[in-house]
Amino acid sequence: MRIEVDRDRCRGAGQCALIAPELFDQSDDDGTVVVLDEQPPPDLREQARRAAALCPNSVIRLV
Amino acid sequence: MDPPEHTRYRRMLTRYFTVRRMRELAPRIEQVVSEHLDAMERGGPPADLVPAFARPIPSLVICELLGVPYEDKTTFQRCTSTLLRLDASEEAIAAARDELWQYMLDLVAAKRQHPDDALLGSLIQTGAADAALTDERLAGIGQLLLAAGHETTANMLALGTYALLGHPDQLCALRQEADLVDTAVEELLRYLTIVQFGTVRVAREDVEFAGRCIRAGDTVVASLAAADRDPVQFPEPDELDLARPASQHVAFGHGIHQCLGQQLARVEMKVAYSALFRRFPALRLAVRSDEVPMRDDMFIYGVHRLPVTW
Repeated sequence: MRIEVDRDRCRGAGQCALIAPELFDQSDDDGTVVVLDEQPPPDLREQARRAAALCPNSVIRLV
Repeated sequence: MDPPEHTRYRRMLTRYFTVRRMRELAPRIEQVVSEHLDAMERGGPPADLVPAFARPIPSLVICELLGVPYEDKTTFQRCTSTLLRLDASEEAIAAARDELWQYMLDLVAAKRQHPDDALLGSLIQTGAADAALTDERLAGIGQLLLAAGHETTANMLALGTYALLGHPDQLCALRQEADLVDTAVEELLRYLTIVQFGTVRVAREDVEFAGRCIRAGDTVVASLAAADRDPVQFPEPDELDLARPASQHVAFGHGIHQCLGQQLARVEMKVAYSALFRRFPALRLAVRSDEVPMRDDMFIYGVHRLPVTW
C-alpha cells in the first residue's frame, strides 16, 4: 500500500491527522496534509483506509 | 466566498486550527473546565449547566485563541444570540449586526496598535502573501470565528449532556470506559446535529439530482440533520450508540467549507464531557425531562437552560 495525496484540493480539516497521527500531520504554513509515512506498515493500514474514507475532500488515495 | 479567494483565506486560517495545535491547547482547556467545575461545586447543587459550564468554556477558549477580551462577553454574546434568533425583528438583527461589527472594527484597530500573539494579532504581524487583510476583512474573520466558536460547542455541551442523561445505559458505558469518548463525541455530533436549518447553498449551474432539476441560481437547503439520520449511512439512525463506528457524519458540514474549528470543538467536547461526569458521578436533571426548554426558536439547536443536581 502507498499513500498519495492531492494537496491542492486539501482544505486542512485534519481528519487524517486525527485518525492516523503516525501517518499524517498538517503543515504549519497552511494546515494542509503532510504524509509522514508513504508506505504504511501492515498494522497501520486500517487507519490509512479509514483516513481516506473519512476525508471530507477525498484527497487521500491508497494505491 | 468561493475558490480561489476562499482557498487563500482558508489556508491562512487553517494553520491555527490543526489537530496538533488543538492538542497543544488541551491542557489549557482542561484547566478552564476544571475551574468551572470548581465553581459549580462551590455554588452547590442545583445549577444551570448552560451559564455555569456549557457557555463560558468554549467562549473563554475562543476568546483566548482569537485575542478577544473575555470581559467583553456580555456585548458579543448578546449580539450573536440575537443574530441566531429565528423570531428576531429586522431592526433587532440590524442593530445587533451593527454593534458586533463596530466592536470588531474597534478591536482590530486596537490590535493594529498593539498586536499580540493570538490569532488576530498574529495575522496582523505575519500578514498574508496573497490575501489582502484590510481592517474590514480582519473584523469579518474575527466576527465569524467568534460567533462560530462560542455558540456551537456551547450548545453541543449542554444538549449532549441532556442526551446522555436521557440514556443512562450509554452514560454508564462512557463512565466505565474512558476511551469511549472519541466515538461518543462523533456519535453525539451526528445524533444531535445542532445546525438544524442548514446549510444553504446556491446552484452555480443546472444540475439533476435524485430525479429533480435544480436550476442555476436556485437556493438549496442541504439538511445536515436529515443526512445524519440517513438509514443507508447509519443503521438504526435514531438510536444513540456511543460505540458506533466512526463514519462520515455531516455535523460539521462537508467539502471545502467544512467547519474550520472542528478539531477545537472535538477537543473541547472530549475534555468537558469527561471531566463533568468524573466530577459529578451522580449528575442528574433537577427538573422533569420535558421541562427543559429546547432551542426550537434558534438557528442552532440546544437547550436554553439545563437545571442539574448531583
